[in-house]
Amino acid sequence: MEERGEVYEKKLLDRIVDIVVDRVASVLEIVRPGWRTRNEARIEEFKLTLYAFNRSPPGLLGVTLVTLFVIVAVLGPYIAPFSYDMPLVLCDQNAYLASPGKVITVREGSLCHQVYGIKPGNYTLILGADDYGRDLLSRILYGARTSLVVAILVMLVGPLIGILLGLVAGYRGGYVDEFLMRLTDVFIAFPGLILAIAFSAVLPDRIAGVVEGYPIVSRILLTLFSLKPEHVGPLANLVSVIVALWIVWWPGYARLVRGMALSARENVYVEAARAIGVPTHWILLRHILPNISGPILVFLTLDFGAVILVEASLSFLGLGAVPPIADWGRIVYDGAEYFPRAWWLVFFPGLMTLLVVLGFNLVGDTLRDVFDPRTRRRIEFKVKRGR
Amino acid sequence: MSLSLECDPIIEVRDLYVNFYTYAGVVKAIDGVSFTICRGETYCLVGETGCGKTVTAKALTRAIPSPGRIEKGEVIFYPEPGKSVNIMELSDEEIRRIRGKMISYIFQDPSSALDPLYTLGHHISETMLAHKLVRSMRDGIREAVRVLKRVLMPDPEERVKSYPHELSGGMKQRGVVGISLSTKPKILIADEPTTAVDVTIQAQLMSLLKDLKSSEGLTLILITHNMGLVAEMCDRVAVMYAGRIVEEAPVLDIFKNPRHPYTRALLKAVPNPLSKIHRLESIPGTIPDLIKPPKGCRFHPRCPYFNEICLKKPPEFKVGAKHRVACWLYGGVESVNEG
Amino acid sequence: MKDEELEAERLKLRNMFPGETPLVEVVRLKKYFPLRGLIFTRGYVKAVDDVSFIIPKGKTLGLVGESGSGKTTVGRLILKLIEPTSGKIYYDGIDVARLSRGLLNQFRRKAQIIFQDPYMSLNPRMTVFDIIMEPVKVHKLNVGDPQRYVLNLLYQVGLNETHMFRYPHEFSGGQRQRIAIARALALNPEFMVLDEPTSMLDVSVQAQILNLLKELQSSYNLTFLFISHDLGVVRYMSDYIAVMYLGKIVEIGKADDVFEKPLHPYTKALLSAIPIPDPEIAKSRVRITIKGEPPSPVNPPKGCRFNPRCPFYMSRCSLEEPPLVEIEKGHWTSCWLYG
Repeated sequence: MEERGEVYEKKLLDRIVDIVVDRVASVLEIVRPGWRTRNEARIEEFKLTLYAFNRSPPGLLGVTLVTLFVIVAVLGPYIAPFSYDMPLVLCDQNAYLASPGKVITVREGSLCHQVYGIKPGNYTLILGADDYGRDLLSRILYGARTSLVVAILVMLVGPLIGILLGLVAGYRGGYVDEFLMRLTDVFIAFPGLILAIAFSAVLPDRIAGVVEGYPIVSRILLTLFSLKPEHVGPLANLVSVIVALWIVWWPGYARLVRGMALSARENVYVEAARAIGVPTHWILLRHILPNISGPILVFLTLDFGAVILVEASLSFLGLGAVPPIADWGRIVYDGAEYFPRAWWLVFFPGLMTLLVVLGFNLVGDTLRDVFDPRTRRRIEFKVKRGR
Repeated sequence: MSLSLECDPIIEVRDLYVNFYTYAGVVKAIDGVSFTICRGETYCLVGETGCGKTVTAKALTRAIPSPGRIEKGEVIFYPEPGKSVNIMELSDEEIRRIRGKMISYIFQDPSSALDPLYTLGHHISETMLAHKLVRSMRDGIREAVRVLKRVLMPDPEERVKSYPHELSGGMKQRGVVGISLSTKPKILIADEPTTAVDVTIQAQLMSLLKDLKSSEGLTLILITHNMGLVAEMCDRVAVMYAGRIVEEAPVLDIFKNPRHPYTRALLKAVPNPLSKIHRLESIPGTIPDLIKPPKGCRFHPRCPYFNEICLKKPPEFKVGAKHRVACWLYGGVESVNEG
Repeated sequence: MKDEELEAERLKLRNMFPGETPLVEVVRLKKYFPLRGLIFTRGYVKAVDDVSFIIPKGKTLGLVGESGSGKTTVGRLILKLIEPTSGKIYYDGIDVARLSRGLLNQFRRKAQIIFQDPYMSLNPRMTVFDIIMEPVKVHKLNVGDPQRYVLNLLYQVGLNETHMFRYPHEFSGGQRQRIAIARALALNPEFMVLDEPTSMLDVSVQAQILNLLKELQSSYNLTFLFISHDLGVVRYMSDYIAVMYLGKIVEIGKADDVFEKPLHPYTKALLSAIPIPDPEIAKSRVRITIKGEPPSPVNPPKGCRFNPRCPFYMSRCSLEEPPLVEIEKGHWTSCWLYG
């Protein structure tokens, strides 16, 4: 048995991890006394996982990119100089296809000042503007929010359905398994993009109906996306893309989880649980799921980037985010006709998408190495030996 | 260490040290092992998991897989009386000629030794072809039938054409024995050959090995943790613990006069089905970590006779004509009582 | 088999061992596993084929046999981990096939199992505390302070508080089996199936675990079904022994009787096949070797299953199956040699 309190060679990041994790653990200890002793080993394992992660420079880069993305997405709408749909050509003709760094002036008493409430003065359009004079920087900040919320909403539902169905299919086997897998096959057989296009064409009206019917729903969505109430229509389009992606995304998880559950259920500890009389749902949640969570987590991480990319692609095709909603893919679509004259309209949103997806991919790859028992051991001992 | 063995040595190991360089650290798997095996005898390496018996056997033909490395030591092989070969100094090409041809192995799991895509006959003739004992695969298949007859395989003409999955465990192990013997080796090393087969098949295999030993003039090195097998098969026994030989003696002496505390404890922990025992003595503690092995005698943390001096590595003491022990209990001036 | 016939059989079996009250009664148990062809079932693996015996309360019944004998399947059938094809199992007088939800839960509390593989029988994602508490939570047992309860169990199996919140992978094989035993004890069981509990452990550790099991048996008056292929271990642990061959019981009786006065030719052959850790006996004893391979349980031989390999074969053996008859008090066998 390992000696507890074995000294690891800790890097600075490891120490930061320690502080953060310990703080959280202390809080949890206050809420539920005794929690700390019960989960001491779990906390150590968790820290070790993070140390392992810290040993990978690409992984750290990925985490940085993802963190920046999330910060930008959450704070974007509050720090953006202008609103996502503010046509600055109304203030100053120079705003039309303004190149990065161009300065525009808002005059006292002008339309911009009186109606839109923009303080008079000079403004630098750091990343330029589009054909409506909408500030690209602001639109990119709002676009980050759009991407993040779409990704979260898709990833909350799609994989969940897939994982649940996969667990049931893999554990039960027999006819249940056959039926679910053939259902999965049907859905996988559809080319995802075509299905998404079809749904994006058909659903918006229906969704608009739902959204208008339940004001709570529309209010929540508008807040999430940081949109103005008058843009409920375009919101419906976005939501229909999300729904389409739910339908397209679950089969992958169903198949993955079903395969893993199938082999996991052969483990002796599952048989031991049955011998004790543990009910099926307990077995699935405590014995099967935790032991297959590694690959699932990797999949989820990589998928986050994939969803953002797919959503941007759909918007780029003209589906999905409809103006005036700020969406990176849509900005590229709109700006394509001015390329290469107004190259910034294609370059910056493209760059952002690239960086974000890259970030998720790097994190996902590093997680895969950290969770795979074979590579994990190597990394673990690198931690312990300080190599 | 010079025990008067009065025999014709076939292989001599002197001061062998083997380390494994793993991510966890350096595993000092073999820590100064020396022994001599006489031509024609059955020599047993006995011990529990991690004692180093398999590594020692592999070291005899430098078959240690990475990350293992033979740090120090000599292995001298005498293919014929008077002719000696220094294994450590051979080139890779030369050692390959010895491995499989003059010194053959059979391992625990016959299933993994056989390629599921090829028939048993193919395996045998491929081996013979590789060592240039036949001229073609066709000759090889004919020889293979003869080999299978020698290992008492039922229906050898049919079995030559069988694939591994068509064979039972016992037949596979016979097949593997056949492959190893097809090159007429001088030494056969059997590493836990019967762990994966049933007791009745085990009996058949052991009796086969005994017969083959005398008919082919083989020297057999048997590696096992089963003391019953040792009693059945062996002439001399070396008991290993944590990378060292703690005791070596003829088989009768090991069972009747075990000297080393570990050997004694081991024998008391083995249940004998023929007698109703009232209590099995267990050995407290666990097998040590070989990355940070105990200082001095590696058994001292578990030894009921522990003394200060045990923190120094004990040399080997001669307690009988062919009986040596690595334990300070026997280093004193007074002789130790029997039993 | 009609219910009345089964009842009659059952009554006969209740006095299988004079002076013992049965806790578990197995009457004409069969388990056939279908072999799936492409569309239709191609045949059946007759893993357990008409087996009847009792397990006396507070005692250990050893179940021995080689691979394919069906002994592991019997263990799982008794615990209702798999359902029998036909036959009946009674626990404490109640037919386990007809248990309601509530009674089934009670049964699961009283009957536990220890598995062979200590490395896989514990969920690697759960701490020792969680593993031992799980049965308590499932059955909503009121045990007072959970940590104190678990600690008590750990002490009983030779572990302590430093082990309580650790993960299984931090423990050795022997320690893991101890944890598995603690888990089995958490529900205060009466009966345990021990499925080769020490075959994956080293000899020295095996002795520790076997001694622990014996202590627990006497402290809690437990009834054991000890399944193993290792006759030495079985003899040490068991009061009574049943020998299985190809899905049938060929001999059953007191351990001493079966070992010292074996009746069935297979038992005799088995006993003579096992290597004895005593070189003098090993060299001098008479061995009955059985030829051939164990046949497959898909197409067992007609009549007595053992007849193709039996050194005492008579023509009757391949025509009719011999019934299990009591030859001397409490010692039964199924063999035509005994009329």
